[in-house]
Amino acid sequence: MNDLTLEIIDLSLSFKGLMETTKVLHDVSLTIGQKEKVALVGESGSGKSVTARLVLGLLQAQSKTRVSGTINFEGKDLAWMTARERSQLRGTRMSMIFQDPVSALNPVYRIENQFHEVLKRKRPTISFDDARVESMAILGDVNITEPERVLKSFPFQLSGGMNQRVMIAMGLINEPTLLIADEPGTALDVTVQDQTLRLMHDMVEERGTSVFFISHNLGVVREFSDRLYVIYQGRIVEEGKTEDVFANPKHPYTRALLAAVPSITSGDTISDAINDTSAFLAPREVH
Amino acid sequence: MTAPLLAINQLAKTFHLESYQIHAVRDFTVDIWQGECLAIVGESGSGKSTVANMILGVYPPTSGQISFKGEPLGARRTKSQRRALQLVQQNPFSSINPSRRIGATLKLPLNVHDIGTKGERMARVEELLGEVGLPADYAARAPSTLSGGQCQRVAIARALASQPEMVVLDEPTSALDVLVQARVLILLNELRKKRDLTYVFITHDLAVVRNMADRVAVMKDGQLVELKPTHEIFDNPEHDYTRRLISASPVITEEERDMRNRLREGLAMEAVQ
Repeated sequence: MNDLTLEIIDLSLSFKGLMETTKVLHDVSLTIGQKEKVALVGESGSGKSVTARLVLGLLQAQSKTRVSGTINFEGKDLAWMTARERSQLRGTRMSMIFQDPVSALNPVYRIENQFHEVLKRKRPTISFDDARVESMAILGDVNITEPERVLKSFPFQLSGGMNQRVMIAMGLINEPTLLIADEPGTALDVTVQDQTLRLMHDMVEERGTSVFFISHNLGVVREFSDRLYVIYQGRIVEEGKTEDVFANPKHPYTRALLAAVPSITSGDTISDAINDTSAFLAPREVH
Repeated sequence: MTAPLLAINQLAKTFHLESYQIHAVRDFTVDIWQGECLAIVGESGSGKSTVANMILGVYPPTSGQISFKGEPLGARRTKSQRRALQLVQQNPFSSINPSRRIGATLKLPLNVHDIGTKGERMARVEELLGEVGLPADYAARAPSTLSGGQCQRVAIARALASQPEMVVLDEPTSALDVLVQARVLILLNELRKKRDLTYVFITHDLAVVRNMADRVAVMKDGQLVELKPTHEIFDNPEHDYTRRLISASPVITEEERDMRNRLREGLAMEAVQ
């Protein structure tokens, strides 16, 4: 028995096409402890978002996917749950924040109705007015100064940063044990992104929520996470404490990723080392 | 003293909506010199793309003037002016015609501006592809078969096809991954040296600016708040807004963290006073 919030063991995934099967995850293993903020870093197409979708249990049901390996959520194997049990976890015990808040919220419902929907997942009988009171309180927590106006608005009437805060509030209102954040803030400006990330950081610290943070932005990961895993072409290539990996990256791919980020303290630092991709499939490095 | 390649003088743009007006750009003055890379930075809504659109002649300014090589640019551009000023957009998937093959996309500017003889043009297209690091047989491909980074290379090749003197880059790498971004930035730097191009680089990513630009113009609410050589703006940002922008960038190294913390402390001190 262990007290890990999330434990993924040897997870593999392939998509069956017309002619061939494409393997997108190769024996991915990772753990997230209680109150831990863990990041999964990689470029697009590396398999980080499908990992998140597997944890949510959204891909298993599709006929074209082949999954093997184990995902334990709070000590229970997701594969042994019925579709209904998995569905009951979503929005209550685990919730998700998406990349683009404007398209993740339903454009034809007011924010207050969407909050009511979310709250009903945990307490099906909650009334609209009670839901409103709770929503007002949590919107205050995400530094929204006019919760009344925001609740009455449609998503397109709010700015991107506002919508992102509404998403964070919605993700946390049911007090989940695991929050999955798929590139939160990449669709936003630097200043707004910085604000929302700090806000999210404080919120999860306060509530003791574990976070599974998915990103390709190394700077953001460094600010936010305790531990990180680097994924390349469906394989975990490096893992360790955030400081250790940044101080001493061991895997060639991690080094290339770090070298590719333009530095803000000195010009002309982008090196040509990033073009040598031959070593990127070297075995996994653990700190 | 030679004249600047592009002189922007007291440029302003006001958009009229049903009941109110938006002053998107106000009193914007800057000279851009041959061969330099000028970055325009600011948050969304600060007017940086509006400036780009006015340089390109997408819409005319409400007041003020832009002159190119000493000649004022009118609302209707001459063909040679259009040839000399080119654009690379943010999202390569939406800026390239999905139903045209790459070769046809690259050939269009050659046809429009009558560059080379008809027989030579296909060879030119292949040359252009080579210049941006793509194999020549990509000319026969459709854009949907290319990755984001490859598409952006095609967009750059298309801008270069008409042999421009100035290229406006509107957030050319913000839709791309870090590794792909690094490769595109290296390519842009090489091309600038090789072809003696002038860049107007529009972005909100200050780390990219530090690695690309010679000078930086910081915009806020449609106005120019600071214009300085790149190293000065990072070593000694004068305006509060500039400091906020720099300190909001995510950091990787210890050095960067120190710099950010210094800036944040400065901002906090001022807030107290």
